[in-house]
Amino acid sequence: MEIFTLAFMQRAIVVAIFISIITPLIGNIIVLKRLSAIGDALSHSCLAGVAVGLCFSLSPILTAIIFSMLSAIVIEYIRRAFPNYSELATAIVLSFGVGVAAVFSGFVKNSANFSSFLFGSIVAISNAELYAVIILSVIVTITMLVLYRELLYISFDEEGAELSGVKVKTVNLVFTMLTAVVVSIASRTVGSLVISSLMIIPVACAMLISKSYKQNIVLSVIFALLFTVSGLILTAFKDLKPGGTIVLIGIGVFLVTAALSRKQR
Amino acid sequence: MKKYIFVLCFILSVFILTGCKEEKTSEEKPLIFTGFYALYDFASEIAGDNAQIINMVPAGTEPHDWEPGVKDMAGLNSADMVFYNGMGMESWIDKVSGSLEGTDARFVKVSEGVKINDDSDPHIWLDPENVKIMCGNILSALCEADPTHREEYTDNYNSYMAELDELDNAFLSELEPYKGSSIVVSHSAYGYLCNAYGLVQESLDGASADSEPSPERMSELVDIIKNSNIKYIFCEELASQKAANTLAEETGAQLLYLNAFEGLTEEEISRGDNYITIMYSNLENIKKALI
Repeated sequence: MEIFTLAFMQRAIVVAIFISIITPLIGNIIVLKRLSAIGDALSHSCLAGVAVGLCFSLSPILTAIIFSMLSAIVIEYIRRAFPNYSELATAIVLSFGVGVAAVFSGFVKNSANFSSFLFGSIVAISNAELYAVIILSVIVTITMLVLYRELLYISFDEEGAELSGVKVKTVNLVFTMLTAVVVSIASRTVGSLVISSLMIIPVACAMLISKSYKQNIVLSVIFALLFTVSGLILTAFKDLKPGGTIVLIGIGVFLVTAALSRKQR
Repeated sequence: MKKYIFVLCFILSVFILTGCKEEKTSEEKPLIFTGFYALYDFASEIAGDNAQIINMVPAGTEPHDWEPGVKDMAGLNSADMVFYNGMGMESWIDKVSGSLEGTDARFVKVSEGVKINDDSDPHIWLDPENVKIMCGNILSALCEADPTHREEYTDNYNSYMAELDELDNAFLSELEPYKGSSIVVSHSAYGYLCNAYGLVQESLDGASADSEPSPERMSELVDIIKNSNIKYIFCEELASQKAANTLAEETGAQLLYLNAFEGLTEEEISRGDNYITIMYSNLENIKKALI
């Protein structure tokens, strides 16, 4: 248990807790909007942003955030253009991100540098990143609480919300920007695999057993906490890669929950 | 609901209870971590048995794309020194050193003082003259951390310098007749080697081992290989050989291994290979290609 007295491990656990609270909060809305792959799409846009930033000697972290925000706006636009096929939006933006990254990385002289801007690992977090995650978490939680009703209404019935006076475009824009910033900052901190899967898997687990929307939110946060914290504890004793382990625990719990909830019905 | 929460708690407790073994190193020896195998090899030559040296990136892994686990981080946390090359070789180094602020670990950039021809190519150690500078940095870091063994470190350093000089001379004299010739490589890691011995490197792609070559570059290389009557294309064991294979089929040239000494496979390590032996076999293969 001595390992938990080490500073990097404590930071990892604190960040795991914050990330586990905010990503399922966003994820619940994302799933209702049929945009489950948005985490993947946006993190690949960050990849494109880093490549472009390095090419034109701009700050790669800044260009990654800008690319992520622009992509999120494009996703929102395509989603509204194809109301019945909203998964098209994430797929198109994902391809765009991968394509831009592949072409522009050809002009980046030191491609090893490239990977150092994308490198994220939950066990290698500096104090500055820890504070960034905490501030981000506070902003996300407050926004989600303030916009709770509007977001819920929009996710279930966008037209109805508009008719009853909800400022659909503004709320969607705020939510989209928030998602983009969370993905771009968190993927550099804990890795894009962890962030894109924590948006979805805990929500999917919760949907199997929850009886109301509110319950779904609470349960998804509990599931996310279970995955990240148990993942960190497991990798502390068995020498496994933290990011992949957290995701696989999530998938394992999902399968078990699915089997149990089916049996009961 | 309650039933599920119970099941979740059960799963969590299983994770917590699995395996609670602890390891502790009791030696007084300086504990040193190295960024990848080449640095491990140089540090071991100079430190001998007086330091405990652990290589971060396991054998057979491309050092560019590796991620630390909890155990690696815990090890680094108690390290005295971390030797790294820099120049983008260890993409994880900035994040890892940032997260180890406040521990005793001292990060030593071993490439300090090496003359950089091309800052997009981190493979400086393929020129033995650069290895001598890197070993000088390792020596002074070791002497500072552990002054009681200063003499042993210096002796080891001096005899290793003699081996490196011998290697350098072998390259110089045996490649002398081929000055100005080209070698075709799949991964442009050999700029420093070619520069040191008057060769020209023609590579399929950039300095990273896994990017896709453009058709334009492929056809240029086909011309170069045919016009200069080049018979061998160099590729690496740790990276993909698909593009090199295509080029070989197109031109009738054969594939030959060249080792950039970023990492070694378990097999090579158990065979007793090190920088010096790998460089001599590289020399043999280069000669074979140029004859």
